[in-house]
Amino acid sequence: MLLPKVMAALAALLLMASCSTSRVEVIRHNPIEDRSPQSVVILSRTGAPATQPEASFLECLSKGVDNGHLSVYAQQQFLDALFPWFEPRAAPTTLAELHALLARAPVAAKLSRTGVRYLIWVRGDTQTTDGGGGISCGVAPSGGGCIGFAWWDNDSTYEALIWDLQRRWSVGAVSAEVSGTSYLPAVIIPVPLIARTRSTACRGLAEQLRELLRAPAR
Amino acid sequence: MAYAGSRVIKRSALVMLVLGWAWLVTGCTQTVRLPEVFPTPVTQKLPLRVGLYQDRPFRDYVHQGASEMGRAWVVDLRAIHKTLFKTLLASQFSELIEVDRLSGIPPQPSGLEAIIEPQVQAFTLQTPSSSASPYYRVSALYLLRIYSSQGELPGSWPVEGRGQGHPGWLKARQAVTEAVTQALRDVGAQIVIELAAQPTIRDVLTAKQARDVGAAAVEGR
Repeated sequence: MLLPKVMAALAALLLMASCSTSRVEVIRHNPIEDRSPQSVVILSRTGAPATQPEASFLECLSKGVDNGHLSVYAQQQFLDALFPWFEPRAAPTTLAELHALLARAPVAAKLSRTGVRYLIWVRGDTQTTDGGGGISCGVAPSGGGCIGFAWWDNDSTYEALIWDLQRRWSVGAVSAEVSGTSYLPAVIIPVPLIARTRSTACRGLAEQLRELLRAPAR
Repeated sequence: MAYAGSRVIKRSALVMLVLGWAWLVTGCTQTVRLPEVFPTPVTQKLPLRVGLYQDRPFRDYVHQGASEMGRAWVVDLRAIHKTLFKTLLASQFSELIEVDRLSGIPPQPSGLEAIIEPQVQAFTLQTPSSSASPYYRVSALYLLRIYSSQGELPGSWPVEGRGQGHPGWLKARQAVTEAVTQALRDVGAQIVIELAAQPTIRDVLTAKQARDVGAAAVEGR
C-alpha cells in the first residue's frame, strides 16, 4: 500500500526537478561567407573570477561544437602556441586590439599555422542563488538513515562571442540563461533530483554556435 | 558472541591505527611539483647578447607556506626555475648565454651587453581556509636585476604574476598547481610584453646601436 504512494511522490518530485526555464539568444554581426569545414578555438574570457566559466563547461561546449564540420582546437595547445598573447594580461578584448595584435608579424604567422579560423570567447558561470530545508542523518547499531528535505536554485548564465580571425570581425554572439531548482528528499536514503542547468546551458549554447557558424547538426 | 565482538573492535582499532599512521606519514605536507616545461613566447628578438645568472638559492627555491587543516603546502619550483627565465629570455634576445658567476664582470669573455639575474622576492599561497575566497590564490614576485657590461647594477625590475585555482571535489593539489602555473605564465607574459620598454634595457640597446654605428663608420673610412 505504501509503495505506490512513495512511487507517486518520487514521480512528482522528478517532475518538479525537471522544471527549469531556459532562454537562448543569438545576435549575428557579420555573415559567414566560407561554408567549408573550419577550425575553432574556445577560450575563457578574461575578467572577474566570478564570471569565468568552469573548466567542465568549456569541455562540454567543445564536445558540443566539435562535429566534423567544426573542429575544436585544444585550448591549452592554442594558448601555448601563441604564448603570451592570449593570456589574461595580454589577450585582446576588442577587435581594435585584435587588429593591433595581428599586426605583429610573428603572432600572425603563428596563428596562421594553427589553422584556427574562429575564436569563441566564453564568459559566465553557474551560481546557487537560493536554498533551504535540511536533512538529518544518523547511525545506530541497528542501522542508519537520513530524513528531511533540502532544495536549492541554480542559475547558469553564459555568453559566447565569436570572432573571425581571418576577416578580423565579429561574427556574432550567443547567450544562454538557464535557471532551475534541485531537490534532495531523504527518507532513509537521500534521493538527489538535480536540475542540470549547466549542461542545459551548454547544449543550448553549442547548438546555437553550430547554427551561427553554419555547421550542420550532429 | 562477546568474543567475536571484541575481535571486531580490536581489528577496527588496528585499522584506525594504521590509517592514522599513514596519515601522519603522508598527510603532514602536500607537495606540488611543477613540470620543467614552459611555452616558448612568440615575439621579436632584441639584437643583444645577454647573460643569464641564476644563483643557487634561486635554482633550489622551494616554497614552504600556508598550512591547511594540519597540512603544510610545499611548492617545489626547482624544476620550473631551470627553464622559466631561460625560455623567456632566450625568446627576447638574439643570444642568451648562461653564466655561472657575476664576479666575472667586467670583463665578460663572451662580450655580453648585459647580465640578468632573477631573484624570488616573495611567493605567497592563500588557501580558501586562510581567506574569504573559494579559490587557492598564488602571487609570485620576482626581481630581475640587470647588470651592465661594466658590472654596474643600473636597474632592477620587479615582475609579479598572479594565479588562482578552484578546488573541485578533493582536487586541492590540482587547484594549487593551476594557481602556480597561472602565476608563472603571468610573470612570463609581463616579461615578454614589457621587457623592451624597461629603461635599463633601452639604455643597453641604445649604447649597442651607438657602438654598431661607430664601428660601421670606422669600417667605412
